[in-house]
Amino acid sequence: MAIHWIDALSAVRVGLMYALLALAYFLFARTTGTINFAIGGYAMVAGLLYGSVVTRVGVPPVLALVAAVVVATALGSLTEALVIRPIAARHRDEFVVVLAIAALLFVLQQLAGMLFGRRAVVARPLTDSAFTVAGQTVGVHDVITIVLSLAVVVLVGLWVARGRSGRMTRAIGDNEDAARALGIPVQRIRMLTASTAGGIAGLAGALAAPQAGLTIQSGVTLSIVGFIALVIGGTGTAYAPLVGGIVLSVLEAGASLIFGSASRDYLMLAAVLLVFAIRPEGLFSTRVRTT
Amino acid sequence: MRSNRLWVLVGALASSIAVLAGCGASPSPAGAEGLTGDPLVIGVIEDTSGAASFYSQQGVRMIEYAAEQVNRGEYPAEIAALFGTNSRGVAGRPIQLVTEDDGNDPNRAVQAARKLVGAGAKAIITTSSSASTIQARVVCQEEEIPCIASANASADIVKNPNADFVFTISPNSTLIAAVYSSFFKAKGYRTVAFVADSTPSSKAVTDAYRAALEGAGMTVVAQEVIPVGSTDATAQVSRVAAAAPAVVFTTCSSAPEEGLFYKYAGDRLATTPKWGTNNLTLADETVEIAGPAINGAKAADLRSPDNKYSTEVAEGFARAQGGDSHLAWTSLTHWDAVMLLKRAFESAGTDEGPRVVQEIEGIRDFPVAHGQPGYTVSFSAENHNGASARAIVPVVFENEHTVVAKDEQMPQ
Repeated sequence: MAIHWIDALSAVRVGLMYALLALAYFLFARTTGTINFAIGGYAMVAGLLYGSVVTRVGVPPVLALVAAVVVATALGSLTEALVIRPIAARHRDEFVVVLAIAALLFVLQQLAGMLFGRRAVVARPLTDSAFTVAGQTVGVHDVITIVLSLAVVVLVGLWVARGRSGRMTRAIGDNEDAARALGIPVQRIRMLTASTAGGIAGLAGALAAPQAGLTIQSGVTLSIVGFIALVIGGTGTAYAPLVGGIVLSVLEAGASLIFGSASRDYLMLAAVLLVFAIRPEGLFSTRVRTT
Repeated sequence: MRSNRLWVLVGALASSIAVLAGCGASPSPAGAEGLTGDPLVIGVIEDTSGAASFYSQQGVRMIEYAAEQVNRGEYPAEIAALFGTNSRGVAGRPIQLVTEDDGNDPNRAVQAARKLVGAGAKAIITTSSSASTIQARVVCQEEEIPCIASANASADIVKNPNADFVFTISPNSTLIAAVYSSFFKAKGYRTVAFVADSTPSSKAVTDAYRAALEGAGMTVVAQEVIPVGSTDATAQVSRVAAAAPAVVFTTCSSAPEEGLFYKYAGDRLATTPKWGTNNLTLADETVEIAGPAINGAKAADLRSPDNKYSTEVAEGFARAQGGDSHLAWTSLTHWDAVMLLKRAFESAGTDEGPRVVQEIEGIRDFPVAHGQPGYTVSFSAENHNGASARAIVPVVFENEHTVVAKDEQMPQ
């Protein structure tokens, strides 16, 4: 079956959303060593907030997008301050922290249900404008989504690689005790990273909200796709989530196009199992010099 | 002092449990002032969060409105004549509603039905999906109480076993599929592509339509599924476009996924006729997501703007709700369910389920608020689906709203 360019464009747009979610996972994992399954919850809250204030209150979409990102940023910080830090201080077992975060995802789900209702919230896009290319309508919102997502991935990549505080996140991730001994403000950097991760997840949720209705159940779905993108990409570099997100989206779209959408979930499962079996560290892993 | 605090705490806890255990019961039946009889408790299964919530929530509000109108004795002219002039309540008894949420989960539907019976329900109206009703009807059969699945489309609901106490009001998928088969044949369509979502209800509906259309000699060239929660339907549109069907038929149960398909089908299937089941007209969300791309899509709706009875109920409901932008046909069938139950309980003169069921089976030509002007439903012991093809109103989307498709003549 011939692949239309609009299929490729959609795969890139969806892949970048997955990449943002995976990047949020990456940042949390980088400094806290924790897989934060509440990432999808932040995205869901931000998406529902964006949709609700735009559609029901009439707030301009750009303002709503900023508000959604700010709220998700706050959720990221609160998770670090109120969940991860205190629990990690009392329990050495990482599993306890992961359990608490999983519980947080369900708390966010219920809170969102009380605040925004349990029905899907359908959001207006950032702009209703569209243009036509070779007989196909392309929404300006889609273009903004692609450009903004790419910009965020590149900026975070540069920050982690070259920024002063960004390099500190790498130091903390590599060896927290050594970083502390070197005088790196571990708590502050962790808080900065958690807030950034929350904000990125919020951006993903708010940009996705106009594509289809988001519900309180969307948090779990978004958490899962973000995690799978992280698993595929690995945690070797800040660009690994980008590769993971795009690979996941292309696999999804390709499976749906070639074998039909009914086969999509089976092929996704097979792909994840394959990555776990052959390259459990993902496509990009951290190289450790042993000599 | 400490003991007092403890008692306050215990009291608060007990009150909370009492409220929670109340199955969402109204404190006193609305509009029942002056009615002295014991309340007639009617249970309602709702979906507050699942795929059926798009129509279930408005349906529950309509049942509340209908119960209040019965308690007040205020009816539109089309039904008032049937009940007489002094007909407040059900034989003078106020209707009291109790509700239970099944989350559109068939497994929870059984538990919900049992809770409603435990709360004293003498009849149950289901506003969740067909798949839920198929499970919940087992409780109606065991407890021998009438169960009305007003808006459900699955023909299996009224098929035995466990179908002695359950009734449906709107045309089921078998009836509508038969209408579509003749209609598509007459239009010369030979190939069809189905677009469904991943809910069990959508699968059941798709299977019914597919069997009917294939039985009529049509070839299914594509059957695509949009997983619930998707943010993109480009791949599904591409596959449908590649199959080049004469007509596209959407059989989704979940509104966002149906809207998503139309949104992405805009350019690539612009010239292909697109029809949807009557689910297409149910929820605002479908149109909100699809946007202008929904224009030109057609559906066999069950609500006609020419039906005065529909309009009166819709306007009364909108006034009571402070203005509801869009009234789904499913809500009109829930109004009809309350009116049917009033009639059946009054004729039976008792709460005993088997007697009430017998009365429903005896109902002929009962005027209902959905369907074409003057449309009525009739039941019998052999036929627990009271509908006929006269319920069907072909509509087309224009400017993101439905209007009657005058140029489409569907078989009656």
